[in-house]
Amino acid sequence: MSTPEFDAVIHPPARLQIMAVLTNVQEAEFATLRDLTKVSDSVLSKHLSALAEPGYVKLRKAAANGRQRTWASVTRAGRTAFERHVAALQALAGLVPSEPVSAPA
Amino acid sequence: MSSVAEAQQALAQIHASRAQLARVAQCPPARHLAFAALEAGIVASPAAAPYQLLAMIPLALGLVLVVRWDRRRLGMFINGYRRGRTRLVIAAFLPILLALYGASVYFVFAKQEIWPSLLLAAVMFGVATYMSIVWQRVFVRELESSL
Repeated sequence: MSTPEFDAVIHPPARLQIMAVLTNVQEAEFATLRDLTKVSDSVLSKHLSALAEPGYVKLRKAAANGRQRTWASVTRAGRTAFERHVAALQALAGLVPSEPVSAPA
Repeated sequence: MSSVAEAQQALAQIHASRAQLARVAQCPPARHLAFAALEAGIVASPAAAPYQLLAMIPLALGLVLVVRWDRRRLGMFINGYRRGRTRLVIAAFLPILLALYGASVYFVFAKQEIWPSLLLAAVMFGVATYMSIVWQRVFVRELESSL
């Protein structure tokens, strides 16, 4: 069980969705993430950059069929932060016995 | 983050995304069979002695092609050794693979017999197909279950 810790970087709905997907796959392509999160290219790009900045998500570009594609994967720090954030949400929602939840940054 | 309702809503969003991923990450029968063929190839490889190491080259190539197929088909790759309940399936599968491979090596090198190797590969094909289907079911169930 992770230590509950609210993470303001992860909390916006689209980022929660992105992290929920990426923590269950090794790598996902930009278009797949866009379809799963149902946001526009520019919005997804913005959220991925926000998650990449603290090192939660790693982005790489790869050519396929003559086109550049962006692949995203979660880092160990990102996985830990997401697990802690989920633990904080569960504690706040009263789903698990509450431990002190670290305040938002 | 202030209210219980907000936390519950966020958890519901995470659950919905996981469930959606479970729906998207479908595995066609051909994918189960491709995995099983690779595992059967590993068990049969000692039968190619003295070129058993060379026999691994088409298997490695096959693995690369399966990964590329997954990436094209799904737009993502899901590692079989991922964290979660699916690791229990892998933990049950690997000793079977090692035992059958060991038996195959024994028959080829100690008994100088090739046919048991091929028979063991056929058994591996069946076991790996079944384990691949079980893995997929466990994966989907895990993602659809609550956090």
